[in-house]
Amino acid sequence: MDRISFNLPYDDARFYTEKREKLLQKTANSLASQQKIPELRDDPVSASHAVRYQSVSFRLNRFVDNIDQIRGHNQIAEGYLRNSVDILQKLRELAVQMANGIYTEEERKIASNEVDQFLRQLVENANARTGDGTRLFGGLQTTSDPFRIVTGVRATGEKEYISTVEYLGDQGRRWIEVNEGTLVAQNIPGSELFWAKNDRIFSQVDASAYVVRQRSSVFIDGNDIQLEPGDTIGSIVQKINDSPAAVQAGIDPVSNGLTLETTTPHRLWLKDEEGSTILEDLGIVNKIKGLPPYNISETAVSFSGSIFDMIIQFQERLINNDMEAIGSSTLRGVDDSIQSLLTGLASYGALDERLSVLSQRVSMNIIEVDTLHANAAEVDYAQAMTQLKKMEYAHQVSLAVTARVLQQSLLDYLR
Amino acid sequence: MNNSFFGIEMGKRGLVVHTKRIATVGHNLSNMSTEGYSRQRVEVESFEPLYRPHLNREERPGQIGQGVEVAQVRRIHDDELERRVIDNESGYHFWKTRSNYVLMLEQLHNEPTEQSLRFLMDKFWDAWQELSIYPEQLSARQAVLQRGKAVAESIRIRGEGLVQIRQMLEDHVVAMVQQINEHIRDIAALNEEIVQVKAEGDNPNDLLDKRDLLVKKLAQLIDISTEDKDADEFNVYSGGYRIVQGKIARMLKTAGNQENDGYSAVFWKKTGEKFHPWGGSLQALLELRDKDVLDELKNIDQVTITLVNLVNEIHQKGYGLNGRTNVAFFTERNRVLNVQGNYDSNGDGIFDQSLIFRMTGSHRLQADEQIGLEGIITLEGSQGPVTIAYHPTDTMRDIMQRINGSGAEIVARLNRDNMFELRATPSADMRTPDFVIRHIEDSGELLVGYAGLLTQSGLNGRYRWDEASSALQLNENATYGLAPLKNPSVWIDVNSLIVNDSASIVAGFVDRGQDREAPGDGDAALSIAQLRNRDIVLANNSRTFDSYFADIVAEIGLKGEEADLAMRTRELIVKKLDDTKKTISGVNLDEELSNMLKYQRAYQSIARFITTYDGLMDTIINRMMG
Repeated sequence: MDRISFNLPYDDARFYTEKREKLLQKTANSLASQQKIPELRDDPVSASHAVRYQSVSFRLNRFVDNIDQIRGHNQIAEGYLRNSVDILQKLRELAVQMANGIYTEEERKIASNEVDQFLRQLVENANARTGDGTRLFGGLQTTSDPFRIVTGVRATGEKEYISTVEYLGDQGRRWIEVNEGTLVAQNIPGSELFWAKNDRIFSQVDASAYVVRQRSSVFIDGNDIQLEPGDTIGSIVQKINDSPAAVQAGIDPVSNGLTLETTTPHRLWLKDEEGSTILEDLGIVNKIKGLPPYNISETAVSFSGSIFDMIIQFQERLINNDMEAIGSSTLRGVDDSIQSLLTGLASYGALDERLSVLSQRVSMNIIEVDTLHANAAEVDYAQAMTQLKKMEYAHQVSLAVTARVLQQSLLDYLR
Repeated sequence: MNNSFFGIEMGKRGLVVHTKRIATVGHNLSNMSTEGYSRQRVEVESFEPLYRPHLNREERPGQIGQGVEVAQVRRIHDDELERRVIDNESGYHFWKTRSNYVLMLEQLHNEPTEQSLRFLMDKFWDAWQELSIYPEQLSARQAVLQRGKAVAESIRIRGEGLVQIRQMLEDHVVAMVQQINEHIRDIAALNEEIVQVKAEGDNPNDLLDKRDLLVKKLAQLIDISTEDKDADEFNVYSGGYRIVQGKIARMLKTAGNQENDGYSAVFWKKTGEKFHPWGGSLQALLELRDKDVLDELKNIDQVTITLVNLVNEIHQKGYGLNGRTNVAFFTERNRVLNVQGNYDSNGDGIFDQSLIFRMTGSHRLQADEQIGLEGIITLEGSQGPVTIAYHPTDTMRDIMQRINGSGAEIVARLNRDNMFELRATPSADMRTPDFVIRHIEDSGELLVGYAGLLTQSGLNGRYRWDEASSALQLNENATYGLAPLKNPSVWIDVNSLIVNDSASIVAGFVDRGQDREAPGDGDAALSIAQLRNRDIVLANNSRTFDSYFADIVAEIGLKGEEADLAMRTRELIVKKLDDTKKTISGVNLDEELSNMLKYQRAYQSIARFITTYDGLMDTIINRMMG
């Protein structure tokens, strides 16, 4: 600049001061709000990352909460199961005792009362609730007792006895997300836990000439099995066996009917889907009879064995003084029952271990993500304070200099 | 020396000239801080001396000077520099205006804080997670309701905020056009006056300063260039057209454009042709209004309608604590109440359009199954028809990806029941409505027999939006959804049925294994919670809700960064030019005062001279001849 006009120093000072003041304000705000990025334009890419990290961290915390909830819930379930195993152990001892020829019919009758009490206790365990009133063992039917005692009166005119224990729950499992996209089933339905024997159904309807007419599907143990027009009984059996259901299908050599047997002890759950009549046609279910699992056709031969059935049988045999049966099939039944419960306990235990490890990992994840977030979006105090001090100083200097420059002119010297 | 008063005349000339000089110094000092003022100088030259060669001159040695006279009053000003200033002003103001408004857009996002829409959505999904674990509880449903309302409100704030910004831009455009008109009117008036003054032989210095200032102000608004080769006609050009021609001002006007929500477009008043600004604030405003802000609005609209659709799709298949089913979670407001989506666009009493947003086929498909069919699907994009070919070895997944990437303003997916679904997106062209499917045609059997959407292949089975009752063209088992009311982000809300009774919020699906509800079923709530990470094509090709929010933050932040940087660069350039101009045309106090001293002294000396010369005259008059 060869020539400085009157306005130039004033305008210059104002220009730069304005800029500096804005920067000062920004830095001060940044410190007060702990945000490194007061405006998105200051660091768009970091802001974008920060946003993602924040959301991920929030989500991971939810997963940890979910895991804790499952573990708490299952701990309660395990408690009840252990108690049930204890009861069954006592029943086993009793069975061994009563199988001995020493005991009289009278004594066996008295023992049957003991069995009755144990049975009621077992049913109470099976109807157990969590702290907020939801049932543990009813599958997804959590607001009403899953096991219902049905009593009857014997022909011999004695007092009321338990004739059967019905299962009113369902097979549903509650899926809970414990990690990104990872789902875990929280519960085991009562129709699986409290079952001692494999369910078996033998249809008496000859299916050798059966052909599926239209596209339909059947529901077996929670699995949707699609059947196409033209499928014969052979393909139906094949499809059932290929499906994930724990069911083995076959053809009875005598009646040529469809047979279904579970591969692990649980209640077999069958239903024809909307528009399908296949299971009905094959003589397996009868819709009129009711909802699953009480929709088995009366023409089919079926065997079902819950833990309660075993105990009721035990009681029956005690009353009938059938010492032989007590020592053989009842004992076997009780053993199978204990086995089932232990398997259930093992499942819960395994799940708990898995969740424990997962919980730790997710917690580590949270720390990592939070650190990344802090790096991207939170202010570094040391850095910001230093910058603030620097700017304040520069501001003071420039103001002082400006004042000095603006003071002198010829005007001051003219007389 | 033919005049006794020769000396006094000379003195008088000197006094007058130096008085003028001092006056001009005074003028400069008074206008020191006037914007656009160029310092003025009275240029003097010596008066015509005696004698010029001619016949009746005195036969004495000459030439004798006759004093001083004013040559001209000149402003110290660099025209070339002025042109450079004008060139750079429009670029600077374009980015300045843009930077300011983009800042508003940035602030609307409220990121990366916990008050942002994104965080509220996180909490919304979280509430569904909670419900999936405690499906029997009413309190968990209350939480879902409150957070749903919070999300809806936050979306509305964003949507309304964008609409308001658009309105602000509109008001600004109208005001700016009026400002432009004022400026060019004033420039033309000045032009007339300047020509008149010049004709008199004078320098219209102050008028020229005023005109330069007006031209500079105009350059901030629109990109202009000036030309004054012809001394009688000062021209200002913009966009290749003359906007000021001497004393003629070509004004602009604004008129509402029906296709653009009634927002104004700018025209030449006389010819009615469209005016295209090339730079300056006006262009920034128009671009922001009709592109940047509108794009943001369309994006948030699409996210909103996708959210509403996907949540409702799941929610309607579940049942609440009170056993109710088929209840939508978010309200769906449609553009027309007619069941087939018929609309009368020109008000002549006859339906002429079908406004359908979504159509779903009737067959369950598998995403990874090879289709075994051949053909070409024709859809419509922003620039006309878009064709998508398919071959026997393609899977549905391949075809859907192809459709989504084809630019056809339509999104394809398989819905929860694995049925083929097409959804419309916002349209880039203002003349076609947003969220309306415009054209579907298939030369083969894919959409016809395979997906169960159309009834026939080829032209006969095609679906067009500009015909009434086009919904009847679809397969009788296909379902369709009507086009939503304009700007879903402005009206989104939780269904009032749910607000009044949160027990209607679903947690589980109607179980397919049995015909009764299971209170412990939380699958529907879980499905909704998992929507956040489901692959759904949204605006900007973002694949999930989460990535949409992250991407939009980066995008708007980068726009802001770009605008800020561009503005600062040009600001410095403009400042440097301005400083240079001040160097040349600015008033320097010391300079003026020293000049004033000079002129003062000169004045005093000449006054002294006059006194002396007067003394000589006095001697002749009063002292000679007693």
